[in-house]
Amino acid sequence: MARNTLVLTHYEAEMVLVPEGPNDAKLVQALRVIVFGPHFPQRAIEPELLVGDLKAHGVSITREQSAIRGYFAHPPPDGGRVRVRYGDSLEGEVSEMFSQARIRRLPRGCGKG
Amino acid sequence: MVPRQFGWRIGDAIEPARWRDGNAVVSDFTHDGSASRVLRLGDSESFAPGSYQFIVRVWRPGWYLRDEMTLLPGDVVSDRRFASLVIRQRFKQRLGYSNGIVLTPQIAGRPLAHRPYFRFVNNFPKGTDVFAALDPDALPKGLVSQRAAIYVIRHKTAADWSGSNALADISGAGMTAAPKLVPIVPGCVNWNTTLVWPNPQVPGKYDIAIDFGNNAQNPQDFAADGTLDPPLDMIDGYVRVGFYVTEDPGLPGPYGGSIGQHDYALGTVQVPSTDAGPVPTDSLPLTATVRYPAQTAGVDAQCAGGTFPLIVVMHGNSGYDNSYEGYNYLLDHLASQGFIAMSIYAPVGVMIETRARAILAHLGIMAQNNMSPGLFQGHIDLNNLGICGHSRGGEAVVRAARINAAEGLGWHIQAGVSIAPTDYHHYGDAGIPLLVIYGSNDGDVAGTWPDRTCFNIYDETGRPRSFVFVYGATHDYFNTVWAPTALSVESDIAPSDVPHLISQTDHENVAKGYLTAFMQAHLLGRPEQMEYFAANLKPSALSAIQIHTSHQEPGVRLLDNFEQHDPGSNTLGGAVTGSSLSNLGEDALHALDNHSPHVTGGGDIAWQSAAGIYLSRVPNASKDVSGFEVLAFRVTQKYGSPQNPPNQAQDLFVRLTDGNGHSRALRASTFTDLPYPYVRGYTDLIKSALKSVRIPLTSFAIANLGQQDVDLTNIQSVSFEFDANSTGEIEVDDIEFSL
Repeated sequence: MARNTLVLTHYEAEMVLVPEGPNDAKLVQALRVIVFGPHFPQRAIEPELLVGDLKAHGVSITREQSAIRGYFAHPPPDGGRVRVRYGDSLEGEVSEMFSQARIRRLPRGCGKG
Repeated sequence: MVPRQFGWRIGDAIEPARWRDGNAVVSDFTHDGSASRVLRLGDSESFAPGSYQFIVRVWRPGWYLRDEMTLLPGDVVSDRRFASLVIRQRFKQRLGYSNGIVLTPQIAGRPLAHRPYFRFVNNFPKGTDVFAALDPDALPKGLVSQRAAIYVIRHKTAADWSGSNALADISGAGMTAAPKLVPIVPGCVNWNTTLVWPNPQVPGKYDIAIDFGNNAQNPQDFAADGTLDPPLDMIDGYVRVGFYVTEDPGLPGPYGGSIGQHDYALGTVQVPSTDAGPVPTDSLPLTATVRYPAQTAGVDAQCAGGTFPLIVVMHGNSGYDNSYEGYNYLLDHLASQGFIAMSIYAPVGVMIETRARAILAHLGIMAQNNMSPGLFQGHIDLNNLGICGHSRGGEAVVRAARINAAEGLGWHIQAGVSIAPTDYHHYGDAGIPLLVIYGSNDGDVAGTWPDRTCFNIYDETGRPRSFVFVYGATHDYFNTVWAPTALSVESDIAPSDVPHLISQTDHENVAKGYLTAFMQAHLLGRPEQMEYFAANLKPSALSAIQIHTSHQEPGVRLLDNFEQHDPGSNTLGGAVTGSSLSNLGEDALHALDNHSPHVTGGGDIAWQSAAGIYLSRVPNASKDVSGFEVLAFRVTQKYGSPQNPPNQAQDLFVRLTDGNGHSRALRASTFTDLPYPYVRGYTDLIKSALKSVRIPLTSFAIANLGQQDVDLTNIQSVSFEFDANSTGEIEVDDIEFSL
């Protein structure tokens, strides 16, 4: 466990289209998880966003530093803990477990063609 | 054949040496690769005196790069740093004497409280007393005089000496003449130590000359003659500089009242965001603020006359979009000292590659500015570039230097400074002289091994390398934009740490003083400033702050780097033994001690008796160490060991023994302290941090009453003796003979 506790309030999950491949020519579906809290510091240490044991990629803190988002190629299984950690320095966990039922799907027609 | 250059890099210009007739020393020959081949270039009379290296390029007839006069990736350099050939001037031409050589021993220095009672040094910050010591065991043959006159003189050039060998002393009030007449006392250097220049106030280069005058046997008949007359008279200096009186690098420099400011924002470029390849990319706005020596103070004021080295500063990550403005205090200071200094922008959140590419992009902009009409045209010394970074920017310094070499960009980056650097990528050797500055109470890059200790950047880079470990310093206080929120962002600062932190002003003084000294040494050719890293000099504003330094030179004879993981032998193959020790181990330091922040092997030595001895034998083939200047090693107290009394300095004696059984032991604390590890609220972040002990080898050979002189050409062993404290446990690394 980390030396300090990071306060997290809730999370959101939604399917999005992300570019992939040479020149970003291809569009693929991915899951974006956004975790909210009072404050996510921008530090030397890069934060990690985890659902269960799976680490999100492309993790970034929003400009106002009240949310952090990351991407998963495939939705993690239900029941995983949603966590954000800065190495062993700072770590927090959302009280509710991850649920695929909470994922907001893509609008119809997206991701085709 | 080329004039010797320190630190060759791909893209460096090749300027061949010249024959006496002015033609370039370039020789083509064919080689079928079947056997070694000797090529005769000429005799020593064919070349001008100097130091040279050789560059070999293999080419096929018609190859388009055959005549390219820059260093190419496939070229072979005879040595990156040291001369491969030295052509000397004939003795009589150089000195005009035919009756002997000029004796140039070290004479200037400072007294020590314990044996060896005197330390020879070259750097005297303004206002610090200059002492001279005559070693009574190293007086010239033929000397019968029991008196000498000591002159402090301005350093003279070879041409000056050719013109006159007169000695003009300047050690009196207002630089008036006040040579000191002293007796020569046999037996101990301590009796031959003289305060020769109290409170010097005029920075410059000086020598100390010993005039034995008429060499009269009867002291009453002695008369100085005020001239340097070899072979009897001696001088600390002559061709080299004897000693320097210097300005404190932490105080404002000569341009302090006239600093110019220039800001630019030149649009955005795409740069690689990872080291995996040209994509993916980050958008990088080319924004910077520049400070420079100017004719008057102000925005876009005209640059002062001359050319100035350039230093680029890259900030680390924070939530502030104006992080790059947090080093204005440092830029102003560097500009006052004669540097063009700039701080550059990186977007919030970007990683190491983007920041490294930003450094290189801004070097390109400033090189263009040097070429184009405008403020900086002709004012930037592009042969002397320095790069500096903080946090992620500190790691980017290493990466930028490596990209410069790997991609053959050819920037003459002569030095780098990493303040509290991350180490996401473990890039390794920066390939340039590197200084790491780190706070013991850093609350961001706080010490989690192996990636976030800051010591790994030092351990992984090549030499020369230096480290400044500042007790009580944090991460964000080095940046004035970050400082107000430091305590909330740096979550690894425990509440109990706060009262013990040093102030934000102290942090700024650390950066100003040490960064300036390092850049003066490497960008302005002022080697005496390395004594801030190698000989415990400290900027005056930091006198109350505990600062512990490491410094390691290249070209050492490494007795033991502790990478064999065999406590019974050293790196040279000599036997290692312990007696009356409670532990003698060798392994990766972090395996020996989970408080060690290091990524190297080391030794663990524990004792519970004042009779404890650690002895490392020097093999015969390596016994002559007279060409080196110091015996050096890195050492720390092991945190948490019950043998180390809490919050007390540790100590040990270092003994050198020669082949004739002569030996001398010196107390390590005479040269630097061995402090207790800095204790902070989160105990897992407390570091057993190595620091350098550097003992001048002359300390073992100069006359000390009741002590044997050690023959430095015939060393048999190095030992640590633990009779200073009856219990203790230390970790040791890199026992070496060094420059």
